[in-house]
Amino acid sequence: MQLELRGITKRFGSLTANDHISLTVEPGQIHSLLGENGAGKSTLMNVLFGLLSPDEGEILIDGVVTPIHDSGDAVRRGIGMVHQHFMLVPVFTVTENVVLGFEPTKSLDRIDYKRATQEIRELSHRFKLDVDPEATLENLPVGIQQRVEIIKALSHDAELLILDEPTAVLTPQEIEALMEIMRSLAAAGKSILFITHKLKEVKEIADVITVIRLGKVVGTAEPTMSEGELASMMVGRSVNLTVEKTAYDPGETVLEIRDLVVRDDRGLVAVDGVSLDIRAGEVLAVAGVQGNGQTEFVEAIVGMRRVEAGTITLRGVDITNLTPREALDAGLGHIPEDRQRDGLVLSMSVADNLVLNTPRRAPFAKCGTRNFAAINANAERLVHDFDIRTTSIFAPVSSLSGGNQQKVIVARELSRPLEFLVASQPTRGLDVGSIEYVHRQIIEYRNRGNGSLIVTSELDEAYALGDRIAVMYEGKISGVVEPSISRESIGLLMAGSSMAAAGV
Amino acid sequence: MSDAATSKAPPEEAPTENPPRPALYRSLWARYTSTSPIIVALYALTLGLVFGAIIIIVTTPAVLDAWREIFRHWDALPHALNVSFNNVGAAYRAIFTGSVIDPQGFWHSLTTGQNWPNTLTPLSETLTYATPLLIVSVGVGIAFQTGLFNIGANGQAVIGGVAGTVVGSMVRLPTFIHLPMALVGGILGGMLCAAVPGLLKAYTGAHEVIVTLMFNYVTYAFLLYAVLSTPFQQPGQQNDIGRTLYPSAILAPLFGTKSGLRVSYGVVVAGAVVLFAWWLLDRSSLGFDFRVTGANPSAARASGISAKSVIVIVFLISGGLAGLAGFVQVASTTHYIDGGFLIGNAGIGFTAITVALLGRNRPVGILWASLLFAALSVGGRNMQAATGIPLDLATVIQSAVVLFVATPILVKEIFHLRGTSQASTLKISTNVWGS
Amino acid sequence: MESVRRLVTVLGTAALILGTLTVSVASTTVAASASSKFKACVVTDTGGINDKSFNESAWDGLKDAKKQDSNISVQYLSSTSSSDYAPNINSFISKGCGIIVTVGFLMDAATAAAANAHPSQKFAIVDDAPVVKTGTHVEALQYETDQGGFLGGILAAGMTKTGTVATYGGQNFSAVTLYMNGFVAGVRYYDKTWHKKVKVLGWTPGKGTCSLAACSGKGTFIGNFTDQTAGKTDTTTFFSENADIVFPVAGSVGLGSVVAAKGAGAGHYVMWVDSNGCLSDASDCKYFVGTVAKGVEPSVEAAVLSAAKGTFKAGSYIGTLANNGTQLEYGGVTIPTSLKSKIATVKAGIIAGTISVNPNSYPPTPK
Repeated sequence: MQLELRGITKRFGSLTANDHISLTVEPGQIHSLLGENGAGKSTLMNVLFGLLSPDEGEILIDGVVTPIHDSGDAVRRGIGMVHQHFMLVPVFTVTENVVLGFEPTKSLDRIDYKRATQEIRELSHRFKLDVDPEATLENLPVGIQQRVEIIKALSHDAELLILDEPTAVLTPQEIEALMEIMRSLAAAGKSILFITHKLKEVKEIADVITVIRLGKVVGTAEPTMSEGELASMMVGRSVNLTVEKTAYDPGETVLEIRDLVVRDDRGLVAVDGVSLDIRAGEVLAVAGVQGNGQTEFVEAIVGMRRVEAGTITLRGVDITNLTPREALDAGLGHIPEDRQRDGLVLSMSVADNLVLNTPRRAPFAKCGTRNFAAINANAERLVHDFDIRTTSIFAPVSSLSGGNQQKVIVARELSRPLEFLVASQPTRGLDVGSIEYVHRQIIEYRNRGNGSLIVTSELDEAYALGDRIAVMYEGKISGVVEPSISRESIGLLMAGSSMAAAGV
Repeated sequence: MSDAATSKAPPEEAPTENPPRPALYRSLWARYTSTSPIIVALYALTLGLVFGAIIIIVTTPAVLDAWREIFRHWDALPHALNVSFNNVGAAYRAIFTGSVIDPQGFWHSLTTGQNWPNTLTPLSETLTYATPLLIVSVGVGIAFQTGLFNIGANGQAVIGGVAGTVVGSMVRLPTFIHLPMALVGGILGGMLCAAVPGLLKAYTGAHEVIVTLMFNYVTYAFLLYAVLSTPFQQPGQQNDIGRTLYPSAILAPLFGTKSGLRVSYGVVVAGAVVLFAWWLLDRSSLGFDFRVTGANPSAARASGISAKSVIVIVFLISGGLAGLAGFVQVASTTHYIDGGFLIGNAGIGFTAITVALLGRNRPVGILWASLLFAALSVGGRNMQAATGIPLDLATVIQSAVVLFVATPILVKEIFHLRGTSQASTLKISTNVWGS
Repeated sequence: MESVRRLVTVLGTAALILGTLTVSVASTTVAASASSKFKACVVTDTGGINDKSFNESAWDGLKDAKKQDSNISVQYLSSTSSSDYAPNINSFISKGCGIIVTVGFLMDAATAAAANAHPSQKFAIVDDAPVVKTGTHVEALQYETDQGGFLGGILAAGMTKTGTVATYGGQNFSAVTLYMNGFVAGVRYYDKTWHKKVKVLGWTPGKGTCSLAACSGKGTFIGNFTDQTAGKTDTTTFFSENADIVFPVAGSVGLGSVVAAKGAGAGHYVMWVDSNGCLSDASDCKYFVGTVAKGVEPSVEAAVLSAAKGTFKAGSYIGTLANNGTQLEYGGVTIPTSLKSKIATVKAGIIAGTISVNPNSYPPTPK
């Protein structure tokens, strides 16, 4: 299917989210739409999928002007969408999820599961999707769940697939598998519109790249362009993708973890005898595929999860099983994995969020009464120092972009007296500019001679930040390596190989 | 409350640098769904009154007869409209004059200086009715802001009323110590009653809605037991009526007993409660903990706030205020408790839930909301006495106002669902703490 | 500052709207009642005007008076709580009511206070006798329902096939237990006079006398006047203990007893209370052996009529069998004439004062 967008314009009040956007997707083509968060990608996709109607412009399918009124319309015209946040029911089986809303029926209005299951098997086989139609969705890994979304789209005979930031939730291996699937789909003649802000992926998979910025198409790019060039197009200025570090000069041990055992919410051992030392002036990056105990590991350190066995020592002081309050007071900084859940109160102001975990500390409160002069002065200073883009310190944090929300957390943590910093997925879901900024802040903190532990599932990040990289697999540390080691070796460690087997 | 204007743009794409400027003209609906709570409340009140007018028209026989006439001849239309207008007008006029002031009486008093007590009676009654309602609603609002449902405020008020009345009627002390002690007795009674669900919630995870709701029944049974048992039952009485407060423990009328105006020093207590709640929620570190916990319990935990202590403290404060309200109700009106105390339609602890909602859980908002509710109830009495339209119409209007206030919240919530935004402070979710 | 400006705008607009409404209708007269008529007003207690009990009976009394005398107009106000009593009464005082009827002992204090403050305002209070400083304008309407209950006891004892009858109350108040006490006395009198051994469940009279002011004893009580399910449960229990006639003194809770009687099969009956069950609940008439009625309606009617005519008499009215202030009315079950004549004889005896309605005058019924 050939899809052409001509001069699509969408305004929200005085804001123009899409400004005369034109692009053409050819059959069998993987067309990448590259842009920062807030550039107008999602709006464009919602227009295309009939969820929003454009103020100007038209959509042409195979050269024919085809207005799309709603998502049902889009599906009938052969457009399928895989949302960033899956629209699936966790307790249903794969088959039930796929037929949901378009149930094939036998007589007496019974759902024809047999036929549906058969159909899913076929699709799964044809595009190498490897999905069991009878599995219950909540038992499947995220990567497979995403394939269910793809199957759902394909089962409606989609000729054009829109993938909205599909890799944001995936592990490197899953990303690799998705790329394969995309290639086989394209080979079968399906068109793919691939929305992302990740340069490496774009370079790897895209046939054509359209870059948009602030709602406008700024140009098309070739996959052969360098990441730096793509980033500059996307951000509109030159971007430094590598972080300047001072020479690695570790001091004494700051955080000492010995034989740590932690259980997850279901009572299973998630962290199984981890021992690590982190020294002053050092960033230890913990790499690994998501779900290998990293979350529980970090929560145990900052006091949000019970330590079953083992000890954690901060500068010689035992901090095992403190309450979160005690951990904060002991000088542990924490950039949580899920910033909107654990790090911020979205409905509250920037100023309030900047003192979220220090509301009683002088000078922010006196005799149980909050001192707004000090709180606001603190907010003005941090907004300035950390370049937080907000209309006002009184604006709710929900009005900030993801990157600026993360800056609020980084500013809050790094501005209080810290002994040690724990950061979990500090740049997940952020745009290039913000990633650059957060990385620089962490490295500056390290350059000042502080120790920190960064948990990340992005290998690039582990390389960029880590003075040493610890790889976590099934709750154990499968190896601690220098960043000079090859990606392949780390990949093997991440998959559970021993140090020797990985050739380290 | 976050200004909803910013959330009107598509949530994911809204840039911070230039929020959409409000257009010169906005539709009424847009205003309704987006503007300040005060404007929304005014819209809701107007809609509520219109709704009430419709109810009056379709339920008053005289009006219906007039409308029936137009089936016979069209000329009757002006008459029907006139009758409708007269009846609705008379009803609302009675509500207004019965709850605020009667302009004619006011003018008379102003020019002659006579009959002031009569002129001020409606205002006095509204304040008398509003005082305990305000206090208990503030307590419920504080719990809501923390994401906790205190459905048991009524039971806590009952226990507070009994406890305060026990102190006020079975101990003899001079006023300057007796009244404060009785007030504290009311607070402690309410706290005691709220501590149980609070502790259960904090340490066993028992859902506070269930526990507080059920506790209401326990308190009603206790009330009956108390007013029918020897030490507390009024001596020489077989009936379900408790002892009368000693004069040293009552909240005396502000203008003296002779004035006949019931409005009492309870309004001073209520004022203090509003000030306290304002300080607690807007100014104190503790209140900050409450609001963080209410808006995002996960972030609260990560920020070192102990959910257990917040739950228990909030329940103690909420219950304490409910208990205080119960005693203020006794000490400023009847001076005794009977078996029907705060039961049924008089359950201010239940009305408080809607008042807190209408007042958006903010102390000052609740102040206005409770005055409005009080005025409608008190005015409704006058309306029934003057026009025969049942008092229940006032309840209809109250409910309609809350419904219309809640509607834009619903609409907003629907819009929020598509964005990444967390619950606004108004979103009251029953599973905030899990269960 | 923005919010302050808004607030002022809002309040201004609200004042304008209400002001317009007020001024524009200030001149129109309200059609509800002409001021020249004699106003009779009733303030109900928290039960409300449709409680199928005293409040409704008092209101019916007012309406009866209106039928008798076209110069009377009637109005009511319901109280939602005891703190409403005083303002409701005051509201009617300011509306110029010729007589204000209040209902129930809980309104004693509020009625007394209003009466003391307004010595020219006429009051009638049902089921209570307030102490008033200058007692020339308050009529206390009270009813010696043990007399009616006594006849009910004789009827039940005469009708029972199983030899067991039962009674229960809403709450342990003298206004309730007076009925039950009379009922037990009636059964005891029946046993003693006609040498039967009818048992009575649900009320054991205390040692002292039972009067309007106080009544001691032990018995079965629901705890309220609304929980019909509890009424059904207790009645079913009585039936299982071999009773076949139950006398609930608990307002609408008694409807639960009717349900239980229906479910228990033929031969199970209910004795209704206060106002004739065959009128208030006509479809269930066949389950009622009779009603021990309280003459609230006629006594209120009489008080209103006398006030309208200017012949109002302050003081105490005691409803008895003699003045129909309490009586036994037969229900939808056929009563043997012999029993009817026995009841007539006993009634005459009570009126004449030769038969005591105190259960302690007779030997207790068998256990």
